Amino acid sequence: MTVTLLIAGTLFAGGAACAAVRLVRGPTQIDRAVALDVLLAILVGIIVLTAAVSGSSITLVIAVVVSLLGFIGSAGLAKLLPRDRR
Amino acid sequence: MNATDVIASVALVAGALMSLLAGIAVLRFPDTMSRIHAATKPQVLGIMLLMLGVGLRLGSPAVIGMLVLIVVLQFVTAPVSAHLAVRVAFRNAEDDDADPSAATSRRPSERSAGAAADDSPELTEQAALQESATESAETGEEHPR
Repeated sequence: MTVTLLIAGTLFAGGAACAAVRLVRGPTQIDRAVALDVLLAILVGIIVLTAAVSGSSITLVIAVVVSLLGFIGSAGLAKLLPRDRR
Repeated sequence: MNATDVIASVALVAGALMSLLAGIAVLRFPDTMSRIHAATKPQVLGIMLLMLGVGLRLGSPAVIGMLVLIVVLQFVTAPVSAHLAVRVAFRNAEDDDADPSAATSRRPSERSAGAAADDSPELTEQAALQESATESAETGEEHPR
């Protein structure tokens, strides 16, 4: 299981780094909202991975709450920015 | 490490690989709409594979219920946020077509050197015609706004 944790953690870190670069660079605000959405999904994945590796299921409640409320950020940004130029 | 642990490990690594692919796609794709498309599809599949891995590791019914709940919530919320984001990206693309000088996407079909060289004399001609038309209209009468 330690090998699984290392490999999956490295893959998550690579995906999060790519999303963070898009978060900084993205020419429009909606690009940044999409990058935040990807970061939230990676967060849910990391919480679930630690629950699987450590064997304790109490942290899965955080994953439920994050996936329920996480889309409100990008949806709210999309509603509040009808026409964004940079 | 028995067989279920091996399958769970493979599922966890596959789910993490999906997240890496989504991150690379968000970084490398040229347009906002393609980034949204490439960020939501692997996201949901990766979440499903991760839940499969965790469900095989921790088999209690409460855990299975929470995992099913996470997957259902992802199915419900991911299309909604993607739809709203694509609406904003579509309006941005319309603004780009109306005013190419302030464009933010770097689609190769629209921003190639040949197309830019062909378009620029026509655009300056049209801009000069529009400017003369608005000048004559303003000096004559007020705009009926």
